[in-house]
Amino acid sequence: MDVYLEAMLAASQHLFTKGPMLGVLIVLPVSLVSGLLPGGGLPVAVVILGFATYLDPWIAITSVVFAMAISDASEPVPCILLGVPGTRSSQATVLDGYPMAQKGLAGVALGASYTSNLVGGIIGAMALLLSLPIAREIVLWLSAAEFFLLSLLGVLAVAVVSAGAFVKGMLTGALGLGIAMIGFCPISGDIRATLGTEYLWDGFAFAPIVVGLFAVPEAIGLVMSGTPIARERMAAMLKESRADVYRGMRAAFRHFWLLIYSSLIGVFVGMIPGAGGSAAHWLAYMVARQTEKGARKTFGTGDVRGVIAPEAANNSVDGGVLVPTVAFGIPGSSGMALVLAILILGGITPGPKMLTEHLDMTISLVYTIVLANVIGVPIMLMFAPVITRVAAILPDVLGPIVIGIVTLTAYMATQSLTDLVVVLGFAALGIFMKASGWPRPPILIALVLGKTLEKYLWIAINAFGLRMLLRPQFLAIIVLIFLVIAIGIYTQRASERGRRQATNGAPR
Amino acid sequence: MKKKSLLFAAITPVVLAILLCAGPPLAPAPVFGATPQPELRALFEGSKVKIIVGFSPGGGYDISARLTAKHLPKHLPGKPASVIIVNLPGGGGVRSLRALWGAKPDGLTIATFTPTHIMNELTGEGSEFWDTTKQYIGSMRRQKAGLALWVSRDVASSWKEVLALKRPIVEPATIPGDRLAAGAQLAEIMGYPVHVVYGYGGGAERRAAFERGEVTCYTGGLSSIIENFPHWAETKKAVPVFAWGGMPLLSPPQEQIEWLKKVGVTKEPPHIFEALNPSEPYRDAFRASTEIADVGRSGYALPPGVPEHIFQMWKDALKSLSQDNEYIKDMEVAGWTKDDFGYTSVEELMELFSAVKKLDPEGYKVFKKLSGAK
Repeated sequence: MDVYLEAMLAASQHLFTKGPMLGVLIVLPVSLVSGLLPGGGLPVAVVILGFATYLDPWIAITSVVFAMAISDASEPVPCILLGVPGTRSSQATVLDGYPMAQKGLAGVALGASYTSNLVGGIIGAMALLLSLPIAREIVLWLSAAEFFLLSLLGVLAVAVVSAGAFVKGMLTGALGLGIAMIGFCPISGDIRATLGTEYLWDGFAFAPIVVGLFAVPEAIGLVMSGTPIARERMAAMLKESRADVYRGMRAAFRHFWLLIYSSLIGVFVGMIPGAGGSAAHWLAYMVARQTEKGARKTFGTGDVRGVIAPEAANNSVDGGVLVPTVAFGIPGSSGMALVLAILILGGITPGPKMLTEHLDMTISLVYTIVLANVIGVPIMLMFAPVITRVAAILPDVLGPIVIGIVTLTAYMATQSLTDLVVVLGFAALGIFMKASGWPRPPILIALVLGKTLEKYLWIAINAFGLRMLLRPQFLAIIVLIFLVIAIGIYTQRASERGRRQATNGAPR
Repeated sequence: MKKKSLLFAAITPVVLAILLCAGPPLAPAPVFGATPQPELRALFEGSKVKIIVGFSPGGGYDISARLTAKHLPKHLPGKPASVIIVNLPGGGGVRSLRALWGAKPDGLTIATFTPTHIMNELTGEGSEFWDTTKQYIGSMRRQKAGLALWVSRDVASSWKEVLALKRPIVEPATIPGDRLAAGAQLAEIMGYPVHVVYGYGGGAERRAAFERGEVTCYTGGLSSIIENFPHWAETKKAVPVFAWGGMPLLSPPQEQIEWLKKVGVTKEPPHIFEALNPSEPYRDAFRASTEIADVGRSGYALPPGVPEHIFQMWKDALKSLSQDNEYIKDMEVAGWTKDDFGYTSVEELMELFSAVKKLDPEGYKVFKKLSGAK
């Protein structure tokens, strides 16, 4: 225990010095802005990596972790106000955040989301700090077989939350998995289904798909509707924007238990190498939808709890993904790959020594996450009343601006003109799906988890064969999956029954 | 005054003669051979040199290229304004090769490549955008230390015990042709109870898989094993069943030998050829494939069509960089050991090429399998 306390002290002594704090000040504004665009804080982290060979490792590592964590603070803005998922995380927030903005409750959604971010970030960091001594054992308890099932669970969870469209959700999830299979095969190294196009060697880039599937249809829908995003209580929204933000903050604390368990889901799911960071907020959303009172009816229509759950998990996950990164050298996300590189350039090899010899560095990463939340969230809360006004901008003005900015961001993904073709193709698909009531989020999660799912399935079959069925962990997750499917079918039937009753009761 | 002038007149020619004789050895060694210096200086003076990396920021190739970029300017003529990294990930590095293929052949752009590109060329599956003989300028890494196949003691304590197992031992690997799985792959090809499972993302995932018991063996050099599995000294988790490559396992510094003793390794494991007893064609194929995979790491290439004197300058610059103490120090800080890097010239690589060309059909077939060719 003394060693642990000494490391905590040493971490704060290293962190709160001139160099790392200067790094934090420099990356703060840039990361907050970059978090607004698809790609999040990644571009800022890449720039820091460019200087890493010349910087003190403490400055470089603090700056890069801070940049990644603080960009999370701005992510809810495009989700809630434009219905566009910002990055690989925060996608579930769209489901309730955007309908809230349409109801003129953007301020409430932003207030609730930032408060959940803050509490989730701190709970996540604290849970990680407490679990560090046993973190390696937790990760080692699961194998490729369970990683496969948990990735599958992530895809199924999204299908389940596709408000009464479980079968459609499963089908679009399958489409997403099919798209994910395009490109470099993680097992054989072969290039698959690229139609001879070099662009597809590594599969589709994520940002052009998000832009095409969500941003363009929403922007076109906005322009065609002829009304601003906020369709109700416009005057009240503009007049009471600050009060709305406070209402959102209070709402988050009113659902404190939801905040706590969603944050814990974030930490522990985040620990799963490869899959956790992307699946945590969806699982938190699914659990909230199934356990919160009346949530099955109200989730997806603008329920503030549908914002609190994924946003709490979304920030607490940062603590979780640090475990495979520092304890095993397996990056939990693309941002964490940069953290790894900077550690290596600084002469620190990720692995067991991060929990012994370099424990102070590991703890300083936890502190940095807390610091990013403590600084970033109040800043965003301060600006939230102003940001809320985006919901009142005339659609003819907002629509083209949104399309322009997000398309440019999509182009930056691979800097190829083909990105724009992809945006157009997926925009057509997105418009069709939106118009015909097919859920779009399952495609995204399947795209993110597809290669992980394929890889772990292959490894599990080859390493264990049928012996994987004898693993209690494997069987436990199988039961969980059947439970999720049963819930999905039940919800779909209940929804159909409700629709039939409504039709029968309607005046002829 | 006159005396002083006479003395000066007498001594000066002597001093000049001594300086002229001793001068060349005392002066700094010419780094760029007999290439026209003013022309090269003019080319690089204030220029922006690009290193195209075929992988995302943060990976092993990227880190190695960033350290090269940091120290390279000292070894180039003139004063380049900057050496920048351009990441062009895609298709296992092929996208960057295509970009290099189309780059202006002015000597201001180089790119990384992987051993797979060389292997593919040798097995007739090479990219249309790659020609080793015309583009290779040198590699900065090579494995001098030996590698060993470590097997979990829960399963077996020697190669003999492995042979008696009903179920094969399982080795984790990235993709077919993975350099570190070569030993296990040869054993699998020869029908021994070894199964290589592909799909792992890299060293870290392979290590985690071994630690959680998902696989039962793991290949690594001793320094890397000690760095990543220090706890084996207490748990005595694994034992090397055969080894190959450079130095013997038990010849490193004393502290490493002490660590091995704690793990319970007191005698040298058998060489892979002793354990597997492969025929001569198999041996030749294994040697060729492992050596090419070793020297092809952290290699750099120029676009085709670069003038010969610029090509030569780049080879000299990389060779000079490989002896730069500050560069070596930075590489060591980043986790490479002295045994893990050194310059490999195109001539050395061509010797390995001719070794492959001399393989008989059976050996070539094994070489193709070991290099991941279909």
